[in-house]
Amino acid sequence: MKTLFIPNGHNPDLRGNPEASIIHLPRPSSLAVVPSAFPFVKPRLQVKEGDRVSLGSPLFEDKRRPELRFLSPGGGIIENIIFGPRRIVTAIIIRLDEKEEREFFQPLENEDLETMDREELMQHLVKGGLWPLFRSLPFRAIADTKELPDTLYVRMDSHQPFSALPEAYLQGHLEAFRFGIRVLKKLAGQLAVYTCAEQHSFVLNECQGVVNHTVFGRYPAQDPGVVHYHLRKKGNTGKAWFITGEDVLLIAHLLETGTYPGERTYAMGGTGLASPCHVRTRFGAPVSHLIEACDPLEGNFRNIAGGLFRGRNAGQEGFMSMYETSLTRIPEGKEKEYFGFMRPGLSKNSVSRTFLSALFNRPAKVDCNTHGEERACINCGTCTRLCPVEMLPQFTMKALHADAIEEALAHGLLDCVQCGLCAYACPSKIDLSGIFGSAREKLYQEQQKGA
Amino acid sequence: MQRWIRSFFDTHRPKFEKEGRLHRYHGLFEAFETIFFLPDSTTSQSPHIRDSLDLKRFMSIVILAIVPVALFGIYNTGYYACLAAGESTAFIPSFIQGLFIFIPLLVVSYGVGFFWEALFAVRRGHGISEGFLVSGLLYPLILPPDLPLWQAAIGISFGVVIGKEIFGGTGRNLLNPALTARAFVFFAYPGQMSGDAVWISGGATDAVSGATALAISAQAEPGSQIPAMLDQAGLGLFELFVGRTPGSIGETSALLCIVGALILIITGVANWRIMVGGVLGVLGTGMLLNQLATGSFAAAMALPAYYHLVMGGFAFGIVFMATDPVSAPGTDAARWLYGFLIGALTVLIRVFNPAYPEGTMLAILFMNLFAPLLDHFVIQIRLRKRISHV
Ligand code: SF4
Ligand code: SF4
Repeated sequence: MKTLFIPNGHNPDLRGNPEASIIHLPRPSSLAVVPSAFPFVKPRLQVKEGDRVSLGSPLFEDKRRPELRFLSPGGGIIENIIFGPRRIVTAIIIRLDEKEEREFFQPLENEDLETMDREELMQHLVKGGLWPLFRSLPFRAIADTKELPDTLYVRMDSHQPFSALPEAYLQGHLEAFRFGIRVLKKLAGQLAVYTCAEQHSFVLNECQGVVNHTVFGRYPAQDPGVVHYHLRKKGNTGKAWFITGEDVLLIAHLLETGTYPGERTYAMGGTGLASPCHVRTRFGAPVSHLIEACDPLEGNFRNIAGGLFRGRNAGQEGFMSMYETSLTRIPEGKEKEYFGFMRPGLSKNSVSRTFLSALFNRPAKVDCNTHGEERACINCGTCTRLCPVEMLPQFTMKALHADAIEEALAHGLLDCVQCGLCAYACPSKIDLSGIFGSAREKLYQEQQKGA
Repeated sequence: MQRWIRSFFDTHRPKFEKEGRLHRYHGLFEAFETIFFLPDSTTSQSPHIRDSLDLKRFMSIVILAIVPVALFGIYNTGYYACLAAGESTAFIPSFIQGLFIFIPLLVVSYGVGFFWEALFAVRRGHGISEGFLVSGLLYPLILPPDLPLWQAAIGISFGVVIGKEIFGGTGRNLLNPALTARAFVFFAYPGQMSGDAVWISGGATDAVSGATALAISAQAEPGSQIPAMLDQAGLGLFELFVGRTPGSIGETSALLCIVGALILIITGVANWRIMVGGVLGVLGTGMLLNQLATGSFAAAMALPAYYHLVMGGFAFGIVFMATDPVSAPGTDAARWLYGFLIGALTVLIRVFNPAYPEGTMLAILFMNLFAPLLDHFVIQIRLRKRISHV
């Protein structure tokens, strides 16, 4: 087993951690797919409002890569297709039938897996609509079916605040997980399955022989981009893909049963919930359906799907998208704090030691307030201290401002894993990770055009 | 109280908003409002949460660290002023006398400085940065107490406009504005900045020579024993360390600079590498000169290296001026080097350039210019080690 230590990163200690218990929710009345949550996908709709769909029937494909299929998470009637600005499809909402129809795919036995070749296996996954779960580095776009990666990373734990623990999502699904790992082994030259060692003795015990890397470090040490960067430093280069442990279960479900997976375990956290815990419910369930199970507080709260550092604002009426396994509810914090900068700050959350809270070891309460106005960079170096892939974010940002793309690339722009820590901690409130995100997006688009 | 202030700002805000007739001054309005209330802005995308630290608090902590030095400086300056005037040198009268000297300088510094800050902020349509809260306090602390106020005013104007605003304002300036201001005063009005008398407000009398330790050291004949001369002038190592000596208002007490340094280092607001590098630079260079000292060279070469740490403005400079993050390098390796070179240059200037005995301020300004270059080298080395993406 390889052990990797990631020096930088940060774990804020926050109030509102989910309990390990899992609540099984009844079926919601509607489900949705959120096309805008898929990176770099331009949806071409294959359904219209009023159409009847079944669990696993296609909803849309990607205009640029029509082989990518995006399937319906439930059976029923297309109730509504919501368009955002510039006619981007933001949600396809399906009202579930009493008795849902489902598509059948060919199930695989263990023996089939032995004899089947890689191409055939891949076609199973593409047809089954789960290919988008494979993403490729460095852009984190959906993996290219024509490529063979040298390494496939399986991330067990995201380590973002309030994210689902492997203990919770693997509970009762260990066999399926092992089957999924056998599937993945066929897809890539090398399989790196890793977890954070100290915390997950459960995973290490139960998945002996499966987990082959342990990663020590704070958020986002477990990110595949971070692991890849640090392994690469040791001379391990090559094309890399990744998938998460939660998604391995979906793949196992599809191949074992021949049906499109319908359920997920979601970690529910944050101070906006009176009883944060894990819930198990349908894929693509409405946000409100999930938070009702955890006694949401009244007030101005934000529901964040996919984590505090990299998630999206899912709104009050939104739906969970394919990649998201956690939902966090915290106060918006749209208040003007009286003499905020002079307070002793007994329970303020900060990377720095400028609040008295640095003296006490207790979880802080957070909200979405920026806690200050945007200023020019003062070169304090906080961002550098946190960056898990050893970039110098303030200098990379300045290079981008000067339109020096080559220089930004040399600085490691493509290694940036979009963890958000630099922007989170910057006292000048500069949206560093956002700046890098749009630069990376532009680069990807240009690369696509060139290819 | 809180409600009253809140409603005050709420009533007047419309005038400064987009349609309001005072819209061009909205930066000023916000600067005032945010002193009382942090803004209610929220994040619009990931990361959804932000650290509680902002520049206001960052700068407040620097000010907090300066306060002990400033209070002692006020008392000390008052003490020497009273002594020179033949008045009571008890604590309270001295302190009050010191306030009479310091407050006008502070008012001029903040008043004139803010005028320029506000002018540029309004012209450029952006907010007023907190950085000046620190520069405006540092500046009077490094002035000779006797400086005419109009010269102080011209100095700070130069510091803000040339040292900072022409580069684009806070965060883009190469030079530390307070030091630029001080250097301007020094070169523009050398008469007021040199000689022994300037260090004591009201002029020196026979009772107080007014000579600073640096002046004594710089003027010593080759072969003389400077520590003994300093002792004789009442400037022994202990006095120098505690700061009961004539000098710029804030510069004399190394002890209280250490207190400030601890506040800055513990909170992480200033980079300790610069400070430690600076001390190493002084000791290393000082000891090297000690080794090379022979009778015919400058006497100051033989001065024990640790004297440089407590004499003049070194402690103050390395703790509060060299660590200004904007004008210092941003990479750790460069910070070590930057600090070390400031220390080394301080000693070299003091020993070999008796015309300008105070080396620290010049050393820092000089290294300000080289900070981007040091960063550049460090970054180049880092980039070479980086494996480029396939
Ligand atoms: S640059 Fe910022 S977002 Fe990117 S990896 Fe570093 S800390 Fe994370
Ligand atoms: S944390 Fe912000 S202010 Fe500090 S160096 Fe990075 S970008 Fe600049």
